[in-house]
Amino acid sequence: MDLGSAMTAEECEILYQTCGTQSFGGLDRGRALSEMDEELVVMVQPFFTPKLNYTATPPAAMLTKVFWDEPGFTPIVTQRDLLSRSAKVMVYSYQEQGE
Amino acid sequence: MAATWFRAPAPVARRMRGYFAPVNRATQTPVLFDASEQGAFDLDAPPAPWISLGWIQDFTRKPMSKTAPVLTGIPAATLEQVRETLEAQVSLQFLSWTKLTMALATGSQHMNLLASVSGAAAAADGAQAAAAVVPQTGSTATFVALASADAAKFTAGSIIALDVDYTGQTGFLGAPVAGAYVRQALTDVNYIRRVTFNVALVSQVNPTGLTLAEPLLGGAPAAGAKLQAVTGFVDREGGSFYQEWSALFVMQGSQGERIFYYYPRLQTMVGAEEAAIPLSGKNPGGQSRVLLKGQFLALPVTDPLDGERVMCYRSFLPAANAMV
Repeated sequence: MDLGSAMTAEECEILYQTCGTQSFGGLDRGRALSEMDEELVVMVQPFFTPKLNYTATPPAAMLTKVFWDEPGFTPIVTQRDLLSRSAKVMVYSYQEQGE
Repeated sequence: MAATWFRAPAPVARRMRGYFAPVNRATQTPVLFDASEQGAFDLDAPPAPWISLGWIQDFTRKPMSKTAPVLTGIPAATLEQVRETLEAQVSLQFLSWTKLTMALATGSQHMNLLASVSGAAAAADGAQAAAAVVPQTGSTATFVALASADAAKFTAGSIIALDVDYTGQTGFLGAPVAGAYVRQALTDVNYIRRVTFNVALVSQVNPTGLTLAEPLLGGAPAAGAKLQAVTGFVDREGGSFYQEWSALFVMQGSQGERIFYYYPRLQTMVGAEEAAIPLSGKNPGGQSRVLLKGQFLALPVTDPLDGERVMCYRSFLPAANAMV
């Protein structure tokens, strides 16, 4: 199996939003969104994960890894009390035999 | 148990990491890196004595060795090739400014600006320094024991340099990293502390001494070592000293494979230079990140395996289950 010409890529968009907390009357929504940004950066590390075949039970480990780029953050969108933002991550995978 | 496998594609990597180890300049002995024994190391915790230089970018290798044909016959045709000269260059940009990265990227001595005595006459590489203090027994690589009166002279967040007095030595100065080569005896008793790589940030001060945020490169203070506060660093364009180091560059592939470039001896070959990269592509005249540019000449070592003279070892540890 030659994987060099069998790479697939897909853009993954993660949307998240917050109104802040009631105890601060929503004034902490900026801080809350920043915390969510940081959580997302932590979530995407390391930048790879083992590729699993979920058609089997339990899922079977495949030969390669799924991997991705650093997230690209979009500008903050304000809708009434709600702050939202999305992050786009390009995810790559090699197509293995039988896929 | 049978293994399954795949034909490995070209490695896909995000960035490159750089690591430093000191060369013993007097004996021209580099630090070894053995990918078979050390290749799986945690990139955040390299094996001693390697020290992380952080991320680097624009890493470029340039083989400059010249070959020449041995011609024979009429008309002449190449019978053999011979290698006439050995030369290789490496260029890169450091993504952080530290004592080490600044020193490696400059073409000459890299000096510590020792805190000066009040009212001292100005000097381009630091005025007359305040008197050094003497560490007490019980000091380690991360803790400098001091008399309480001496400890009170320092504050958390300050930088210190720790090394022995200069007493007229000539040759390479500084251990384990040589910071300068002195041809004729000097008069500055603080000269070794000006060029030493034994510097660290003070994270905590208490009456018994200073806790350091990072271990000293030379380990626990040597006998006769003294301590001085450092306000910053200075290097000069010109001079005759060349920094030399053992270098290791690592690329981690997306499938877990690793590529190592091990240069036993690298010497700086140009003066200090920076590259300004705008933070926003839409505003090239705005805030810019200033990166240290380094260009290095690889010097040869003799490989004891077969006596060949070489300048770089490229090692590749394939991904699990990849065909080789």
